[in-house]
Amino acid sequence: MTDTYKNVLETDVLVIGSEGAGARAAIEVAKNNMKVLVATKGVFTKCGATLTADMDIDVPSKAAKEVFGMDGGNPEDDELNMMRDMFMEGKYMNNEEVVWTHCSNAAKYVKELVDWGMRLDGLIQSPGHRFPRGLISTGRSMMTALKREVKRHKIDFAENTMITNLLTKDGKAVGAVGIDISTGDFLVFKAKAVVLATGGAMRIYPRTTAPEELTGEGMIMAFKAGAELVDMEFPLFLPACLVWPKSMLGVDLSYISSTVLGGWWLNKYGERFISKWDPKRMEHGTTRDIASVAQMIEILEGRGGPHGGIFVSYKHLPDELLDWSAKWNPWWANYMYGGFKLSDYNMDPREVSYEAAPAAHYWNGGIRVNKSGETNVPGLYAAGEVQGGTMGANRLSGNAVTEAVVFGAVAGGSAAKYVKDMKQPDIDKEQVKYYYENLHAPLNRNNGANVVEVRRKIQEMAMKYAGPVREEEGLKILLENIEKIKKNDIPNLSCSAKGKIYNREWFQCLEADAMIKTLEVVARASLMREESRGAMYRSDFPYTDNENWLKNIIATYKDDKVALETRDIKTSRVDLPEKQKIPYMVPEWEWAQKGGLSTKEDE
Amino acid sequence: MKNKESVKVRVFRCTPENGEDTGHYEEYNIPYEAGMTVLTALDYIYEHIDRSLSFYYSCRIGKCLGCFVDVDGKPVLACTTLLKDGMTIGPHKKHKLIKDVVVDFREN
Repeated sequence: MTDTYKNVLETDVLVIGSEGAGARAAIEVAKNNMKVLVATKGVFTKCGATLTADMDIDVPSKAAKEVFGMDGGNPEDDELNMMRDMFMEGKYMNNEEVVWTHCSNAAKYVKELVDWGMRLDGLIQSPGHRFPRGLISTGRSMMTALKREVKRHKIDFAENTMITNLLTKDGKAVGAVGIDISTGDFLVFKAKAVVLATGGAMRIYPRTTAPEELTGEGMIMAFKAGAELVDMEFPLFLPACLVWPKSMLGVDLSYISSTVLGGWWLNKYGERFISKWDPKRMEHGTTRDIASVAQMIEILEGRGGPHGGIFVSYKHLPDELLDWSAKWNPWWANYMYGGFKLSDYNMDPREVSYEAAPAAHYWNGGIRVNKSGETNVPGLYAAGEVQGGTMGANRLSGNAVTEAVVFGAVAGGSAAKYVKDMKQPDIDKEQVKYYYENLHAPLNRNNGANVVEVRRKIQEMAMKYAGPVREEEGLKILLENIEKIKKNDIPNLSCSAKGKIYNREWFQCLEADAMIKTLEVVARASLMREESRGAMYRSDFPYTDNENWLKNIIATYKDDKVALETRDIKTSRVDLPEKQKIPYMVPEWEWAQKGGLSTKEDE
Repeated sequence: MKNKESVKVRVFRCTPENGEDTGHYEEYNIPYEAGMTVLTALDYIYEHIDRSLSFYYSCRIGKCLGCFVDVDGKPVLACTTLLKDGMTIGPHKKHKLIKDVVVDFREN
């Protein structure tokens, strides 16, 4: 205990997470002349989800033309139209004031990135958007631009730093504790405000497009500090991500290339099963929620391939066309994906089909915020993927990066305003002591549970029972297993490696606690929502129930238990759908246009 | 190489806490599967042989550039380098060593 206060860092605003949202929040705090410190689990510009984006960044199509000079931009589109599309495809679960902040500030904050040096390579119209809104760039280019500004403002960092808990005093956020992974030192952060920019929790699933470190601590530390979580039943899956070879598990090449180029998704009988779900848009144009459900059902009902996926095939296309696409299609330029040379992995699309399945991709839900990025805990802000409310039940392609940059700036600005003229608040030493002991427990314990096995157990049951397709019985089995793991495994985790310097086993033990709690909220909210909507499909309730379920599920943490309540969706500028049950597979826009279910006869 | 044959790799191990500052190479047998990379090999060692092995990675798809290691003396990304029998995996030499094959990439 003598080293509890050896490393105390004081700042005005502590930002947790360093990439798209975190870096942008820190810049905004610095611009407002407040002190800021960024704590991040990885190394700045070498971690986080932003870098993994080969991306479209959404702005209203009108702004794409007028602000960014893109020829394809359509002046008929505006902020309100963009908001309506986000609601339609978010299946009306979105928070209107948050979406409005997102849409009405998108052009302003994306333009700033371009002014700071982010490259733009064009404009695309992704599935679900009625106008071309996706400015094309890369996560690397965006982070290079942000890094330049971060350097210019001389922002302080604590890298390789895993924050485990927030400190609160009188119900307000006043700092955090964690470990410096590279030394094993315990760290105490005293802050007047905290901005969480820790991303999603996709690593609770075994197959994901997300990086290694997104295990959900941000959401869970906020939850424990009293923050509300919203829409946690809607983790977004990206369909058709590779399941094989293992080194490419979760790679999105097979999805992106099938939407860009028209790959076919086939079950083991060679059927294009998407025709049962979205016969008009097919693979090329269907949205990710429907596609994930369709693929998962083929897999669950035994029509998949030997590695547990469906097949993605380009073999209906002539080699000449594929060769031409390898020249213009950046996702497999010269038959490379990132650093993977496809032929080395027996993945040349001219030779083989790919085996692929839905992979966890983005966290639609998260910490409930208002239009200013404030949570319900004073002094606590959330920005980017860790926040809930922007995307509702399904995110449209291109909105994640816009959300990170808009709400990074907004939450950073709100936090800077909040801490102005504030005295450094006291911290609660009892809390610090409790967290210190908890955090060191796995190191001090012997012959307990093995974190590699516990982690695998959590991930496997998450995919099996809380993947794109769920039902009551499975969710109940899942909850029973979660209780067992919470009771038997988590408090019993022990490290076989006792060293404190860069102890992977140790920080994975700390992650496991957040993983199981995140999964519990997902499972409980999924069981409560007796319908299918967006990224969540209940096979026992295979319809969208706009009569009873135009509601958000809000989770709070009380006495070590998850409590759920529902709140009605309220809008002023977006019309809500008619109060009726509609089949899950029908795209909302088509339903609205035609006033009924489209059938083959309509064509 | 066929599936399920095993490959041998040598991995640099150094535990600065024990006052052992020079480090040494340790040899591991790893069951081979087609498409295995240096990173999947490190993961295999961590998960199945020795959980005290330290290595850094984030995206595992060649984008974050955080998993640089030296393989047979040359700097490569662990995640997109195919595994071969007899490889020697060490830390990236241009940066200060933290532990095993983790180096200090921090600029701030």
